[in-house]
Amino acid sequence: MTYSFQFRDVFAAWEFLLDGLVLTLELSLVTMVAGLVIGLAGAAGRVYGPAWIRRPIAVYVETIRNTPLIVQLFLIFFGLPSAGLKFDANTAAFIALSINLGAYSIEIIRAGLEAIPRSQIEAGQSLGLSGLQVFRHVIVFPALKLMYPALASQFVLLMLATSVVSQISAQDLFHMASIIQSRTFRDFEVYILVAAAYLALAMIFRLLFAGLYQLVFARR
Amino acid sequence: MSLVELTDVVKRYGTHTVLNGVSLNVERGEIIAIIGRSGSGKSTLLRCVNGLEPIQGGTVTFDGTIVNDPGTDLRKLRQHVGIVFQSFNLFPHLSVEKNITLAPKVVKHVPPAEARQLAEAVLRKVGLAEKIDAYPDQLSGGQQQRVAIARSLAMQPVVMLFDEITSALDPELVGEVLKVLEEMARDGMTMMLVTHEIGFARKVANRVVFMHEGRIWEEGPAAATLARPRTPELETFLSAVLH
Ligand SMILES: Nc1ncnc2c1ncn2[C@@H]1O[C@H](COP(=O)(O)OP(=O)(O)OP(=O)(O)O)[C@@H](O)[C@H]1O
Ligand SMILES: [Mg+2]
Repeated sequence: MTYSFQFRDVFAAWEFLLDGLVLTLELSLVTMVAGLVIGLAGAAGRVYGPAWIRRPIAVYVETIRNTPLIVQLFLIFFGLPSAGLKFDANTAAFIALSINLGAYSIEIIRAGLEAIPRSQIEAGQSLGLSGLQVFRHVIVFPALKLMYPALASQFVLLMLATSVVSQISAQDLFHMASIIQSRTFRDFEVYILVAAAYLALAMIFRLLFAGLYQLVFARR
Repeated sequence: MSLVELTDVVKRYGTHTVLNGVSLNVERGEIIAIIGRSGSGKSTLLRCVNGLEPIQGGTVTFDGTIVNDPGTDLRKLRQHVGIVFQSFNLFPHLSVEKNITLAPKVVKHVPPAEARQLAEAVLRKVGLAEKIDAYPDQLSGGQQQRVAIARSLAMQPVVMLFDEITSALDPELVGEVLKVLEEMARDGMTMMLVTHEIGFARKVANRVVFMHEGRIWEEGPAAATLARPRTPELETFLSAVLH
């Protein structure tokens, strides 16, 4: 076991890594926003909607949570063009990731909504608030606060999972790593560096989420 | 026409009949105390008045509007019917001010500055002006309940429903809440209050309604009804709560 590390060639390709990092970040952030929107709307429909809304949402959530992300991605990128729907790699990646994160978010936010006592809803209704106003002013905030740790964890997992988009040649961090690897043949060094980059990203996201919690949910 | 009219109201949960033909008229300015054993249907009765519970028979009207008509705009109706619950049900994420001003702002579109003044005014009524920026979990039970009353008052309701609002309180905190009710009574507010405080009922209520097995078993002027029950059920109930 006398491997001598040589990071020089790998470091020389830092611009590739940076480009990849930027796409990974963009994909993660945009998907998180989409996931939150889908999660909120979907969970509201899942909990308070009529049966014809509840059931399709349940089917969507269970289908996504019980199939591999990479299959979902391939279905959208390689499958849909047969039906005439063609996306470039980045768009396909964004769609697949959002659909995926949306399903997990719905499930998490649903648990939060269901944890809000009925008496809170009735207090809002008794004051003359509409269903939507009760949702917006009485339910959403405590529900999100309750599920925030779970949601933040899911979002970090999503960031790590974006690495599958390299499989449809989206030029994310992991894809760039493979390119550098094929040029330098420094497999060990490249993947150590990439691991460190994902680790750093995950830490940064966790810090940001913790800060956001303090800012939004932890008053006083 | 009375302000609140219940006519042959029937409420069932599945096969379990909770209200079995309840008729009751409440006049403007009247204070009705509703007493009875646990499970006799007191809360259900109140909750039918503001349409929180759908009913299976009879009619409930408020100020001439049929509450149980599917075409009735319950949101509009509830602006005039305040309700205060045993467990306060303040919104934990909102300050006292925001708890009070939420409905005036989003339902009645009261501008923010005016809403704050409104909050100050109703808080003064319940003796909590200095707590306007506090959060519910910083308040005692008695204070939370008074904020809940203030929150209802801010909508300027025509009738107030109180469902055992002192039952969750430590004994030493009951007095401060009852005092607020007495003041509202003096101001002429129409009230329907479910209570186990028989002494209080005797003092402020015009009329007492005794619920038993989903029916109004006995009713009449407060003092006389409580002093001389006509049915053995009320007599048993009164001796149980008074001793
Ligand atoms: N959501 C519900 N589903 C089924 N049964 C219910 C429901 N709510 C109330 N009940 C039943 O209806 C009956 C009357 O309940 P209600 O709460 O009106 O009684 P109450 O007189 O207010 O009693 P308490 O003094 O304990 O508050 C009880 O037997 C109760 O179990
Ligand atoms: Mg009750």
